[in-house]
Amino acid sequence: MRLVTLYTPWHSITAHFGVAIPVTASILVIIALIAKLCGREDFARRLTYPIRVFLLLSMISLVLACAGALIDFPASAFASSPLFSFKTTFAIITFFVYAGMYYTVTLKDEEIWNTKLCLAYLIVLAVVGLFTVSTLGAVGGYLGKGHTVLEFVLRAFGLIS
Amino acid sequence: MKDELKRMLGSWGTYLAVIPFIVLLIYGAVAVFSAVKGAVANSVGSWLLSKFLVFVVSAVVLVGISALITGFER
Repeated sequence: MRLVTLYTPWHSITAHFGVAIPVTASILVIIALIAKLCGREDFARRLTYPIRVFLLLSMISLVLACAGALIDFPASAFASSPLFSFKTTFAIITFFVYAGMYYTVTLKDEEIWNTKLCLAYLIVLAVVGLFTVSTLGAVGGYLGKGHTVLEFVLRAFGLIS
Repeated sequence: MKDELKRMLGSWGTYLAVIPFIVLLIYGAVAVFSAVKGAVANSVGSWLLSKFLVFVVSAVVLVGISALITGFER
């Protein structure tokens, strides 16, 4: 059962980029960490630039997804629906999670793999980002289709009964 | 810390993503504010305030920690 009707397909198009690109960025960070832990620091260093590009693209794709949401949904729904309110909050947090990752990688560049604090911060943000992006997708799926595989997460936040 | 902030402000991410995101949020807040009617209109102020708080706290904490620890681990 569809809970909301979209005016245009813009959010459907941009939201999938807004999930796929940040998830790819997070997975690249995790792959680079595993490579470093396995003694392949050269491989982790080579992944620094792709990670940085993907983090920049993540932020841009999230902006486009938010713009798509503003075009597609009735503006009043953002304040009246708890699901929309939750989605707005999580979208803001997700954006700054990826902004934090982008700035950390930009400032440290390849040296990030030789640091402790910065690397730990990057990994924590990558995992948090994976969770927040997945939850955003789950709320979108629930709004569009009336069900999602992550319903237990939405239930844990008290969004559905 | 000053150097970190300068490099942050001058990076591609600030111009291509952070500034457009802030502009979009301001536009979104104005659009929601002008669209709500009836009973919801009474609570839109608290809705705006809560979103503004989320914005400020997540921006300052997440990006601030990034600047702090990269400066600390120089």
